Amino acid sequence: MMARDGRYSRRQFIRGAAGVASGAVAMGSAGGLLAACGSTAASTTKKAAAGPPLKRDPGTLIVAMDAFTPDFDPASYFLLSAIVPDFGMYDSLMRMKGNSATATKPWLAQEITTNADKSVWTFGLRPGVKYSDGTPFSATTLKEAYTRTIKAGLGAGSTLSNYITDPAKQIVVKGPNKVIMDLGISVPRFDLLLASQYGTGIVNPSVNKQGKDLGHSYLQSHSAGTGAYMLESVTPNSQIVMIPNPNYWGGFNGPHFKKIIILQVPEDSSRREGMESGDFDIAFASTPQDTEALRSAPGIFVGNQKVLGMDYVILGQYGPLASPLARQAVNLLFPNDQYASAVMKGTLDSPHSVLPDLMIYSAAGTYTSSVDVAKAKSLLQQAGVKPGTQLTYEFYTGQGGPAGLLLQSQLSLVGLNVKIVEKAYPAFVDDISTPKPVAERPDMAYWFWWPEYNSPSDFCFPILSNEGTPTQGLFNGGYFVNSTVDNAINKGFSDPSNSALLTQLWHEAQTVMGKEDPPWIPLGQIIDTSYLRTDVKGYVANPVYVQSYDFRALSRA
Amino acid sequence: MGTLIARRLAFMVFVLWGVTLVTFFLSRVVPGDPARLMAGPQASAGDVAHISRIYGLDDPLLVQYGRYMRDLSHANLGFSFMTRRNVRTDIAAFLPATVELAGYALLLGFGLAVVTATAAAYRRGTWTDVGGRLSAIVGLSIPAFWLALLLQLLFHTVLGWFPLGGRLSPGVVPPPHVTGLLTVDSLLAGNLGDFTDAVAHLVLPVTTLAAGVYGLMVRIMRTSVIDALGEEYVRTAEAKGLSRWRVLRRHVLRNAMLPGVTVLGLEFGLLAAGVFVVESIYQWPGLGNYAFQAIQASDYNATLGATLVIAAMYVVVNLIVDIAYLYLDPRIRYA
Repeated sequence: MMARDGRYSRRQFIRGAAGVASGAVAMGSAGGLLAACGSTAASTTKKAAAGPPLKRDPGTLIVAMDAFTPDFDPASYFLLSAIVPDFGMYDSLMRMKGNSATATKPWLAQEITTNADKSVWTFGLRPGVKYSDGTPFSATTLKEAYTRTIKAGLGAGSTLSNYITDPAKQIVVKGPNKVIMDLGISVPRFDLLLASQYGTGIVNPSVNKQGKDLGHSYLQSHSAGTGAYMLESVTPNSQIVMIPNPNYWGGFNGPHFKKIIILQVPEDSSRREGMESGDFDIAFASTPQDTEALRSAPGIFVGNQKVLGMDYVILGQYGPLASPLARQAVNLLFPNDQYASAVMKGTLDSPHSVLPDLMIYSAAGTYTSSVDVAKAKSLLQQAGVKPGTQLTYEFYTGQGGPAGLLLQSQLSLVGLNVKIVEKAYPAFVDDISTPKPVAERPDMAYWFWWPEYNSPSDFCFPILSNEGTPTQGLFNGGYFVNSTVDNAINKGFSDPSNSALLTQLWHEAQTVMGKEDPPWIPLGQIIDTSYLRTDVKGYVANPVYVQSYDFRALSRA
Repeated sequence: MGTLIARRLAFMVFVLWGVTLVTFFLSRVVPGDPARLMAGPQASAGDVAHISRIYGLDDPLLVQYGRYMRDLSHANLGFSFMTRRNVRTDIAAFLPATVELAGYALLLGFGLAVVTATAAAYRRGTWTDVGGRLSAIVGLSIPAFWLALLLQLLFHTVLGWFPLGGRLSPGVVPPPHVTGLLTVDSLLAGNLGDFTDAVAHLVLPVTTLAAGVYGLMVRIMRTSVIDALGEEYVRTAEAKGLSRWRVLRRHVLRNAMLPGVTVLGLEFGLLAAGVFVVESIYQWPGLGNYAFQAIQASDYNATLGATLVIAAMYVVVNLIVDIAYLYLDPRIRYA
């Protein structure tokens, strides 16, 4: 998973704070995708004629993020704020295909074969690939790179180490361009993991010689990948400049951008103004109100693809909401549909499960949004929650405030008082991810999540499992424990090949979480509402690659 | 003079030590784990602990403070979790941007204020005076963040006259680093293109920041000029037949300047606070923006480093003010 740092897009996990992406919305180049989202494509085409004028170098792509982290080390870049530039500089063995949440395509791997139970994966590597310094990419350097990522202990190794904990034994080089990965158990969709944008980027292992920290410090100001672009310069808090990698295996013969400049523009209104004035080609989403305004702005396309992320309100399995009946009641008071449309202006989609629609094993209909005050009152009475009880709702600056106000209003209908507490992002993260006495925990707290790759177990483990509570330093801030949910999560990791069983287990788990024992109020499914100029072509949003862009695929019309 | 400077510099050491003490422990009391923020939310507890060990965040606070002071004595301000490099490098990169912004804002705000206040005082009770005072109230009362957004909307988005933010347009190669002040460095390099671009980027943030300086200084200077105009030495000068300009320059302004200069030193503190907002809105890569981001990210060393530098600047600016007194009023003697 990856949380958005700071605010909706980055916020730090930092900056945090702060993301959203799209998928089916191809802008121009892919005919099939255009057909799949005809109305959007049609409107962007119409608006293009009257767009803001381009008064700068058309060969340079300018991207405005709310914040970026100058970390170009695949072993540690685990923040959206670092992923965006790094996705353009590092390749992985696989990539997600088009706007699909489940289909992958070979990338640096060219041939993929597995044994019968899919526990051993053999990769034939693309020949002729070089790192940006000209060093050849090979099976040996791949093994060294993944070993470095797993062993560095800098955060991002957790993706690969789901199934590779001993790379020396589990990754076997069988030739210059052939490598075998023995996972020990059957993992039918290991390709999805390898296509993740978190922790699978392949770094030139020669960086290990740059200092005593495996080159980690070196990679704070240099890139060392096989990707289409390479780092030219970085000015923290200001800009990252990327230029084409002269050794790129795919070449640069098309209408690609000659320079990518990523600017840090923390002010929401400035990102909107920059899009309206033509200063930026792409910008991270601003407020829902800005997004709504830009949808009708000429020459600007606003992404509209659901991604694998959820916004939700954690409900504490302690205090007044300890009883599942009380948590059911709170869910019955929240008007999800109106929240998504009227408050969030369509930047969220109504939830149909605690899992996003596009996630594997997602079972639509296991959560239904409906407001029933009388039933909520009755449930609260059964749960022993008396009118006049005070609940606390916590959120962090920039995110989650409106949901709290709505909850405050709705819960007053049943006589409950809600005290809204706003905190700075680091303090908020501390509250929901470190152990606190019950009296110091919020009863409700805003949060969001998306997975590292399309896997409900990967999505749920840190936020819903009994091993993901703050006691273990993870983000199950409501201390939610349910054996049905734990069983589905664990089986998803240990027996991922048994799809019939997993379908059943995940349906049960979603039913439990959506109806009987709610851990959250699912506020909505995250929609990638990135802003793009309509003359930037080739954008295909993928639900897995939240707010990330394949820079080489982009060009200017 | 030498004694004054030596005493103030010695005093500064104690001030800065106090700043390290308060800022170091206060920043650690505020909840938030930089190791978790660096590692990312799904990193394992083991990885978070590993990062804590790497940066010594798991040591007792006193040990951490001792290490910080030891490093500080070697001019090492520690590692920034946010920018992933040494805080000293960051400050060397960001401070000139703030100095350039704040310097021009002070010059513009103070210069305009002196002209307005003098005109208002000379024409006391007229529409000129009313207009001057009104402009001062407007400058003082408009919040910087609101003025910044308004100026961006009007002069960038609507009129397209000035850039939205930053120090140079994206893709423009900065001049070779000499002072770090782009307007100066570009002139030194003979690069008029960069100079024009840098000036264009300065206009809106400098105006925003100067508004507050202007408002306060007009009020102070107007009163001072009115007081000076009523002094006998001014009447004597006029009776001697000196020109109005000469009376103004040599007798009125020089004496009226003392309170203004005093406030200017104090104003620096307000300016330091103002740059936090202005730099953030205009994406100005300066010390204020750096400190703002650092505080949000629980970046202890960056917060402490920025605070130290701002405190040191405050002391130095006030030392300069004291020295200016000696020039403006030769009767002043420091014991």
